[in-house]
Amino acid sequence: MITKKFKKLLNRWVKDDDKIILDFLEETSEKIKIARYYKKGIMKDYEQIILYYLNHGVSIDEILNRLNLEKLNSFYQYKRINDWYPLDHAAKSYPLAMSAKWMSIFRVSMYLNERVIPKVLQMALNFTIKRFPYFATAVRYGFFWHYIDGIKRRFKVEKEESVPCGYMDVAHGIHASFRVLYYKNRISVEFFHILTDGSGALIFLETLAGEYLRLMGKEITREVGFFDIHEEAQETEFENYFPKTDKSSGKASFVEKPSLQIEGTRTLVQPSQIINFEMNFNELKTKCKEHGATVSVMILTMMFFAVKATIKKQKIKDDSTIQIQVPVNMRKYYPTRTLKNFSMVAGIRIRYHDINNFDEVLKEVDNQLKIRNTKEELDKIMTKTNLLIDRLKYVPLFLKSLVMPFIYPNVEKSYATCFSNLGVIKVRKSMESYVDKYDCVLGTLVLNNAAVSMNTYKDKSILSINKAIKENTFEETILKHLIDLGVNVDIYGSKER
Amino acid sequence: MKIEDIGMYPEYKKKAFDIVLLKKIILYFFLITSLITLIVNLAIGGKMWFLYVIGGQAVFWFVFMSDAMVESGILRKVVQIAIVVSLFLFLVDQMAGNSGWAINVVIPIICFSAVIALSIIFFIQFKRRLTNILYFYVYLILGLFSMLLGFVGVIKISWPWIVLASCSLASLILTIVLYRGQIIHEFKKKFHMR
Repeated sequence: MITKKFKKLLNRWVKDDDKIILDFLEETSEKIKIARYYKKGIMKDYEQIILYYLNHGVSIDEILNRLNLEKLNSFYQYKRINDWYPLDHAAKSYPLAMSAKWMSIFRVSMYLNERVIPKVLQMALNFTIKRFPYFATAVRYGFFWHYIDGIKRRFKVEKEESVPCGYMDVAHGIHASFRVLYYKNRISVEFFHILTDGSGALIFLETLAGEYLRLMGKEITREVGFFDIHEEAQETEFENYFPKTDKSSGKASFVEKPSLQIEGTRTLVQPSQIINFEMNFNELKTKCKEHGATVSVMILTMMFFAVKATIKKQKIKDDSTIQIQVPVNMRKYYPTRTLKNFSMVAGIRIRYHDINNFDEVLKEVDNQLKIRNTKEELDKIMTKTNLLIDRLKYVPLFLKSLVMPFIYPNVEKSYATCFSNLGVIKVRKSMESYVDKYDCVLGTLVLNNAAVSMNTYKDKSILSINKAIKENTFEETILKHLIDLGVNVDIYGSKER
Repeated sequence: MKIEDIGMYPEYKKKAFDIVLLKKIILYFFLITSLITLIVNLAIGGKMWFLYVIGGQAVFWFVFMSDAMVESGILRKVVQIAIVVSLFLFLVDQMAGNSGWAINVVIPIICFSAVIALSIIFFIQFKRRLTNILYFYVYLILGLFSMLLGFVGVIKISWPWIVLASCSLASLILTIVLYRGQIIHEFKKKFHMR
């Protein structure tokens, strides 16, 4: 499997010691027992990274240390028979709702202080994926539900060339439900939502970046609370925690009132634009505190005004409302380590005609968030989800697939947009100095015309808006409110389409 | 929003060929032509020949255009094509006076050819195709079911039907004999309710 070209180049770099490396590669090749095509790919990854190291003056001992054979573990051996997983309750709807043009995808990105080296990132992914066997899977069609099945292949990193959160081909048996992308100093991971939520994605990205930095020769240490690629994956990391949740609070109603929507002209390619507002976290927090609000409450309030500003043609009745959904990480209420989806949504709903005075809306958002973002309220929604899944479990999947594409847009009608705040992101202490910032982009929805997410890393807070429309009113209104608040905002993003 | 700093995102390349758009155009074209033929047929009267047009378009759609979003594969495609073509031929025969050439000869020949093709693909690429076993088994069971239809007199038992049932039964037995364990395990996944 070792190419002649590599042997020739190796001989040029290390005349006498090439045998050590060739023996190492032979040993590696024996350890990889996957389809020939993928094995060839992994061996090529080894060749490329070795040449990169030699080119940068890394000693042979150090190369062998960084590419230690134990990194491969038994992951690239033959497929394990029990390597399949049912979907969690939240994930069950995603493959049912997907269409030829839309699927639920989100991305988390980490910006390093230096440019990403693709061949090193590729090797980091080769090593990291074994710690996440649950992600090394493909979606399958069952008789009652979809499920995910383990696949043995080389997972490839790709240069970012397309729209963020673009369509992911999961139709063929060997295609994974995530992709790793790089662009300049950014490493992005995009997930089809059936695999995980923001928390799981952040853990994967942190682990991948940690391994990348270690392969780059940085001193990255193991730390409690962070994943170590040498550990075996635990079963608790891919348990479906939904059925274990508390049912004593009762259930939420199945029917929700429709919400007014963000208006605008949808572009042919989705999303139309990604806009990032970068702010100083301490400044933002202080300014919000001056108004007696948290950052989330403040941004949500601005969003209500932004949604209202876009509404021109919709019929406004006296009781017309705008609802914004706020995903809540349920791990704060339940002691689980699951990487699967485990979040619920708190809906904040305000009457259209009541969105006039900023301070009053701020107070209302704060009140509602305090009520909705409680374990009892979220348990009610969880119980509703569990009940729905229980009732549907005997219905064959082909029937569910026929109905769901019509139901899903109606679910989206009940809210105008969503705001996901990933909070303060932490990385291992030894990694901190190499990471500049994070951002998170929610994929466009079927009906909703914008989605907003936020995260904070060290002193940088980034608000990302993913829009599906040409018009700028929504983001301009938020920006205007941020400036009025007295916060300095750096704006960057993708080109308008 | 006009953004000065667009350097953090690549200049996106426009796709040269948008298959989703093409499918949409073809679908609308089919819907319009179906509607026109229906109106013309009703206006001039006579046999319901517009069904030929709709049937032909349906065959074209399922053979060339439609694809599954999850677990698409050759086994699924062969099953889909065999069923759609059989239905179309049945329609043509019915429309042309129901002489029975479709149901007694052509359809069972198509079906047993499909069973043979499916079996060859399944056995040669067993590891890869095991995940599509539901399509394969459903088709084999339909093949066996045809015998039942013959016994109750819905269809006339002829040599192609006998070949179809035999091929289906043989394939079914062979898969069970050769890969019982793996197939049971695959069925546990396919029929899970968790």
